[in-house]
Amino acid sequence: MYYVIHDTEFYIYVCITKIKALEDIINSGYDTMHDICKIVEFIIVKISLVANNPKAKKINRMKKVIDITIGKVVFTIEDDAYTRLEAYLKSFEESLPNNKERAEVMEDIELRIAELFEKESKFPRQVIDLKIVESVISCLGEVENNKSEKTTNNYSQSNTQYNMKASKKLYRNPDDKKIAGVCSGIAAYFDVDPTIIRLIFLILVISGGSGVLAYIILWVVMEEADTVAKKLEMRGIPVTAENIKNYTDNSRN
Amino acid sequence: METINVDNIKAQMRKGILEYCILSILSEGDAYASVIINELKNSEMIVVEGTLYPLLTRQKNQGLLSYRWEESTQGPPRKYYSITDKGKAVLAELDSVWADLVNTIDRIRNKTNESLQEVSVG
Repeated sequence: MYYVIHDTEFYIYVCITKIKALEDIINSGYDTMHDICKIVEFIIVKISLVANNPKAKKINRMKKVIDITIGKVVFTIEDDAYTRLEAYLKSFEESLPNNKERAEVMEDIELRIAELFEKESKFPRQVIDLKIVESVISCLGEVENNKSEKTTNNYSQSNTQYNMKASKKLYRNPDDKKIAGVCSGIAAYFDVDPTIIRLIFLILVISGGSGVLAYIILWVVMEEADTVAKKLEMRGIPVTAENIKNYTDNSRN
Repeated sequence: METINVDNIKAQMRKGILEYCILSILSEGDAYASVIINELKNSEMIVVEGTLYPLLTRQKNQGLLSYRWEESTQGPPRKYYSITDKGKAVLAELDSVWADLVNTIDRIRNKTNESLQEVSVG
């Protein structure tokens, strides 16, 4: 996904201006920890505006697709739709009693899915996307929650299964760090691609070196998310026993 | 809390009669799984397809149903279900089981009403 460029450019420009001001303040030797923090906070707010700007259009780039055969028919399916479908089929299979009927029923289900895919395709060779998969799943019925099927999903792909209303904390992300995980941590806080944040910092570095200073400040100020609880807080996922278990299970996979 | 208990019982009851419903529908004529679901919906018995397929397979393995493959213009071939003689026999038995159940409930409900009336009059 990318955001409308001119908005981003504007905010990058604003950030650069502010960091230059930061540099000046520090160079002039005043006791300015308070000011430094204010400016850093300002920068972070601006970055969040880019991320949350409703006018910034999220445009879907081309996606990887996979060819699958299901129910003896071949379909081309987008990779996130495939992940969802695979998880559904797995949890459906597990909800069936483990006997020879399992294979028969799964065959029936796959035939039915193939049938529904054909029905939902409005034109030949139409790619199966997540929307189609979701409507097929709602037709067949979600798997019952005696064994919560949510645990089999990769939690970072479908955020709806966690209550995202917990407040986020800004941590450095040690799992995805180029230098110290500062950009990765900021990206996790705003739920954006870390590459965007790294790009911003790189531009700041190139245009006068103030990016280095900002980075170091953030490195010092931001705590590292070294425990699972902190990593969940970083992404705004409530720290419950279930979520911790899911996180560690998924990390092991 | 009260509502949840009723829903549970309702779900149990529905589960219990679903097999009876399937046999009934197929006794009227052969059908695809999707047709069976529509019939059930028309009779206010909402069931998702994910529940139906395992049940159809089980009944087939019990010898109550059989199927043949039918070619379809809309995609892959589909299973066309029909009721077997054994299925018809079971259906007849279930008919009388159902009649008994209805009878029992009627009697208990009426008897309860009667004895309550006696208590209040007496």
